[in-house]
Amino acid sequence: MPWFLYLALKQLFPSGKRFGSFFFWASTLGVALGVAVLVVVQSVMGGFGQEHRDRMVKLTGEVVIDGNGRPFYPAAAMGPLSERDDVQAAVPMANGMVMVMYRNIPVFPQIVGVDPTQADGYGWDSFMKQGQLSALYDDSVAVSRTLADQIGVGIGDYIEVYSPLMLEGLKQDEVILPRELEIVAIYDVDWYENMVPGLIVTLRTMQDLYELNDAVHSVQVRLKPGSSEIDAVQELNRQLPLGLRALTWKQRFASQLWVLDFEKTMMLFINLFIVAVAVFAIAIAQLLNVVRKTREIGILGAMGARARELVIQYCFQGFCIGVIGTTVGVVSAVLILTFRNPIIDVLTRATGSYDTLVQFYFFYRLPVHYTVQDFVVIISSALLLSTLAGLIPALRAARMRPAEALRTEA
Amino acid sequence: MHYVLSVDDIQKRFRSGPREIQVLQGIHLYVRPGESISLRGASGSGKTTLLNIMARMEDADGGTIHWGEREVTAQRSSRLARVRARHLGMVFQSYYLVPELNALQNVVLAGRIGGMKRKEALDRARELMGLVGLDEREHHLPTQLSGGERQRVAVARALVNRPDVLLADEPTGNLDETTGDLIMDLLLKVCQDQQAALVLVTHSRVFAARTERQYELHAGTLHEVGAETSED
Ligand SMILES: Nc1ncnc2c1ncn2[C@@H]1O[C@H](COP(=O)(O)OP(=O)(O)O)[C@@H](O)[C@H]1O
Ligand SMILES: [Mg+2]
Repeated sequence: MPWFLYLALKQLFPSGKRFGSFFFWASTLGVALGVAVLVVVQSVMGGFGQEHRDRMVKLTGEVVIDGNGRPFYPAAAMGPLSERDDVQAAVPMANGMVMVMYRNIPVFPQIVGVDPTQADGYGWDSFMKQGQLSALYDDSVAVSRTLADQIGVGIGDYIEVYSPLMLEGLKQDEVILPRELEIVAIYDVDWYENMVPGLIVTLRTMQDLYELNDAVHSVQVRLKPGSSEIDAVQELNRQLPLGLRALTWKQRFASQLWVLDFEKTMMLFINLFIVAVAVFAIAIAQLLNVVRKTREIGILGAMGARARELVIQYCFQGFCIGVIGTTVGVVSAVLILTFRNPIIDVLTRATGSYDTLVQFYFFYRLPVHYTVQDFVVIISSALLLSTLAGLIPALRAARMRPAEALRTEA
Repeated sequence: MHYVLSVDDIQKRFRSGPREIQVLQGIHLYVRPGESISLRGASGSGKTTLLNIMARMEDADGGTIHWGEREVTAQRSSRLARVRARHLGMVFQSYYLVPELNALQNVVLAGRIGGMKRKEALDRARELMGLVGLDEREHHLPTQLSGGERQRVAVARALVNRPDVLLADEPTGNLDETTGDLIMDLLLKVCQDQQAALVLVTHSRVFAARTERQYELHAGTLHEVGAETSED
């Protein structure tokens, strides 16, 4: 082993000290903390993104085909869809707004019509608190928990529903008879209220209310796992007949999702600072190492060491600290992530913010998502940084005339 | 005449703020193989500066420097590194041992830096540790050694590459009188033993008197003391 590598190791693990130098542990801790913070933040951010996507897609499917507001016959969309092998389910929907009267209280909820025989395709079932989507029949309705609470109804109650088209009948002096619907299910999507309709009825009922005949407002498409919704949308848009368009779930909800996008941009911004702090922790650890050794670098220079050898010595030290620090950092990050929920429990209970957390955040369980790529990026940049952070001060010290290095107070 | 180290007309100025001080103005010194020379002078007279310039650890503002036959005045320090290791040994007032290495490892390290193979450096280091009387203390860390013992290790380290010249900058400056005496004895003995010339910077007239030639640095110039009597 060349003397400079030997010396580098000896300085980290001096003879006679069993656990390595204090400095070694201090700077290793610096690197480990930096890496751990990066892994944790990255994983939690990824987790939120993933969780958010999963929830949205569960409710809406990855792709939707609509007529830009105009009703269309679903066969027009089903043609191109049936030729694709990445489609798992494609279900028709009609939607609009109605007035509901219950004991003389009017409310104006959003309403959607679905085909209960294809209940699997809609993804509502997991949100049903009472009853099931497949139990819907033409004179029944599923009601959101929010709406049910608002007007004070439950399973088995009847509500009266007026459609906007009934106004047309009013003009012709017809007697308006509302549609009476029995409540057979109650669902609760505990987030994004404004994207969730208040009522779900059968497609048939909705087509009656809106006089659609057999037309629908959209076809909701669920893709097989692993398929790209962006590709699918691009191809569909080439194949669909004029007047129909395909959108990804993100495009479809763009106006409602801006808050989330804003949040994500904010997080990215904050993450930049976290990265900066982590980088600083790593760099400062290496910097201190070299600065406190400036005089020794002068001595070694006086003894005939070449600048290059000295630079390699300190870069190698940085690399060793980087390897061990990164390992410790990754391991502790994974441990923290594994036990995140107990940790959060303890923290929030200790600070009395537990109820707030559960009440105001959708994700009581902290979601985590990481990819191999995240790890590769974090680990390799931590190693590179640890190695290079020693480089600049080492170059400076090694370039100094030995006499000057000897004169430094360190 | 063949010299192991010679400097001619060395000039050195330091700038401190607006003022410039001329520390060395026209220094000539010729070191013959194996001889011992002492440099005395008041504190701040430029002794360390001169030694550093002779070792090319610091740049002079004028003059020439030869190590043996080789002129090194303007050579870049990266190319000088190995040459310095083989040609010069240095001992400092504050020992400057590598604190993480034990006594033997400190000496071996210098050999390795000078280009020796591991085995060769180890054998040479053991030999020198014996010569400076520390064979029992090889495995002690610097912090476990007294000042005198540390300076012995430093002397062994300076000699490991069989230099032609040993430059010692107040090697007894941090030691009590008795220990200083012993180090002085050792320096003269090992330099003779290893056939290295000794350039010793010291405050002490007594120590200076024990070298073959004595100089005083005063007002930037070097004067030989009792030149007429020390002539053979
Ligand atoms: N890097 C420097 N910058 C400015 N002045 C210096 C520098 N190095 C040494 N000096 C000055 O040069 C003079 C000689 O210093 P030095 O050679 O250390 O003296 P000595 O070793 O004889 O005590 C002193 O006045 C000191 O202040
Ligand atoms: Mg001095």
